[in-house]
Amino acid sequence: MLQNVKFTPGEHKLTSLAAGRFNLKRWAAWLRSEWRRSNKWAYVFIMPLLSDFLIFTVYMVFRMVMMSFEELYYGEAEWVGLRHYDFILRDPQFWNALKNTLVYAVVVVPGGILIALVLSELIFRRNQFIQVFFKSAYYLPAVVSTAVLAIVWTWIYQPFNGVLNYFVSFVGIEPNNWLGNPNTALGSIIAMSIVGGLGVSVVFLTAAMGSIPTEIYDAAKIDGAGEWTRFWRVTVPLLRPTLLYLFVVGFIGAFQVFEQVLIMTRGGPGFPGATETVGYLIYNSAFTSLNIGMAAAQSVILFFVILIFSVVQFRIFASDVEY
Amino acid sequence: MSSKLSRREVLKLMAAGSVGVAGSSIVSLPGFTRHARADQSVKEITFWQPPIWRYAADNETVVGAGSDDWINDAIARFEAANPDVKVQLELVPWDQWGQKVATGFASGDLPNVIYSQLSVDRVQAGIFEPLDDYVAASGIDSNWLPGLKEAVTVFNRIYAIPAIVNPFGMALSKSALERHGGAGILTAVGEDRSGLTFDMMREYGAAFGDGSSRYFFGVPSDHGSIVYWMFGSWLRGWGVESWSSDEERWIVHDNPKAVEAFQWLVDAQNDKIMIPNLPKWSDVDNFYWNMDTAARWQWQGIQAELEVAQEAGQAPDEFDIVLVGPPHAEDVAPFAAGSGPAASYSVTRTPDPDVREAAFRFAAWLANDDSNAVSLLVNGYFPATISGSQVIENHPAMEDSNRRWIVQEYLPNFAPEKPGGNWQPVINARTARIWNQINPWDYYIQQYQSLMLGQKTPEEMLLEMATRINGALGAAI
Repeated sequence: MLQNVKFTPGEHKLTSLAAGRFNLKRWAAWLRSEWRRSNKWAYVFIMPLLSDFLIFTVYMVFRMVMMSFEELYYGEAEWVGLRHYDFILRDPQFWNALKNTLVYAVVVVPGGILIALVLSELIFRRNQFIQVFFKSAYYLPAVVSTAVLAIVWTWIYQPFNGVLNYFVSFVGIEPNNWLGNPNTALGSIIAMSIVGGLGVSVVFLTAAMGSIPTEIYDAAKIDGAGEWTRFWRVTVPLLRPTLLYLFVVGFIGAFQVFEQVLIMTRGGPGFPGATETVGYLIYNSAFTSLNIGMAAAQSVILFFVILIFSVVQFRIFASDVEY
Repeated sequence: MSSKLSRREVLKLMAAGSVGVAGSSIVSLPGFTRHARADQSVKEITFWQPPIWRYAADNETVVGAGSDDWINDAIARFEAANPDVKVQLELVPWDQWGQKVATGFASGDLPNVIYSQLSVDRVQAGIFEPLDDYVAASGIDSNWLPGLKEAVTVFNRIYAIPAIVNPFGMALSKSALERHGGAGILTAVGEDRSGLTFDMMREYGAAFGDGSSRYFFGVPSDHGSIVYWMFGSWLRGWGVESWSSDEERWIVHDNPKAVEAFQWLVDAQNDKIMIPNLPKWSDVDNFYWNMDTAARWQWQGIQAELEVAQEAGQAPDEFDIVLVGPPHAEDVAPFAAGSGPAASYSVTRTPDPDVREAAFRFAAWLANDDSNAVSLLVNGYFPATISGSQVIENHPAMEDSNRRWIVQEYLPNFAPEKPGGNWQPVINARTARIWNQINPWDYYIQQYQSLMLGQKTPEEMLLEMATRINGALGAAI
């Protein structure tokens, strides 16, 4: 159920402390008072997960950032400052990979969500049995590993006796080397990712649709709203929190696209690679070229790209989201 | 129990937790438990190996790729003969091998004995133990096939024990040629199979193909073999060297023959002699097993691949392959491609001389002991030793004419390629390191694809590659 309650964080001591000038004594006093009044068992219980987070996330991110300023060579580390960043930002291969990644993300995420939205609307209107059937059918690829999906799609796109060429021949289209043609390779991977990734969005959206009160639709009907108006003016606005989640998580995942590229095209065809993405470049720098410092620097840049994209999305979508 | 904890209690709990974590970490340190338990006189060594055996320990039963049956049995045999050594095997699947090795070298967390990782930059980085003293004391090098000692010698010292020889050449499908035309090439190459030329490939290729679904020659365009076949042995056949003698500079583009070599491929594709549309490895397999392609680069292990394809119904039961030497220009002498050790075992640095000695003993035994020779043969390779070659001589698998030709003609009589082949830097550590950093395994493949897609001419491709490689090396373009 959507809660029409706006979350307004109450003023906290910490907020007021942060608002003023930094004062070490006041901070220490605040920490002491927090320590005295808090339930110490809570700290004990959160300790395992907190340790995991601190060691395997915070420390690892910190270490990766440090590694981006180092040349790591067979267990030895040499501080090289901004050399990796300097190289990356002047490297046409990286910019090509970033362009491919952006194209992939910008098409796969909105495209996938749009199709999932339409499918969800169609599914949601069916009876329970049909809903379960379609949700399961669309979700099935999500439980299959990307590697398996990529192998299957490689055969679908196969230029010599692939299924796709067989079907398009019926409408008079010449057989194409879908993954071997620089003009269609990225599009082919995008199509695979959209089709294979619909399930999660469909499940989320249909669940969110179920939480929209039917009274709102009844009221809209009484006001004379047609099917399209009800969908566009009622359903979509009330799905905004779910859409925001799908967009943010989708973009984060799409910017890290890697497995499909590795299995289907290895970044090719051609040079600079028509499907080479930043995720693939990072993998190659780290595990093929043993250039760990370079891979770390590429990862840091990718992190900032994702961060900027996420912030922009929150700004666009979250301004009047109701929780 | 009180619902709140005092500061003292929290500190106690945290201290207890820290002790627990520290204790379990220490106990899990490599060697802690085994040192605590094991007899001090027994030396334990660690060993990383990818699965290269399809046959079980009896060398007759097929257990499938990825099996650990043979290597576990081999280790048991070694330990029985060397009770003072315990071998801890980590059999790493091929799809994880690259990452495992990469992270191992980056972090320095490596086993005592490792499969096939010798390179000049790693030697210079001090990763491996020089093995000269052990080799000299044991005298095993006198049993190595000609040229192998040079191939494992870096900066005048021996850093690996050669284990496997696996030369490659052109695999002509006799069945396909006889069915579709062009079978004359089988006799034209000569009795010693040394005479395959580029002109011959065009001539008989035109007789074989039909221009729409049948093509004489197949080159997988998605595979790392592009690096060592098309930028290695293919160029060698045209008389093109890849590196200057000091390996300070990539020199392929300096030689007009290199343009000819790549133009040959473009023309062959346009003239339907080569499979077009950037075929993948699996596509070339399909063409070859269906007899729609008659020539491909391959190792002698193609015979084992044929058996798998036949079992799976992908290849006909009657299918004959004739392995011949790599193609070459009229003015270039025939040569044996990939004649160096295809696999070797190296010992990584260790401060413990006993572990070092134990690691050498195991590596030498696994690589060179005659009891392991037949396993290499049935799994598609050849032993690296003279005595091993004698052991396999009368094995039923040697009735295969391709295997006999390799052992009796190809390896002893054809000129060997230089150690490491004509594609990678092997004597200059700095060049090797920088060259690896440009990731040739993707870069060369993508450039080759650009060429075959018509995005670049051979001149443009070679100049672009020279600019990138020599630019990274700081050498003149």
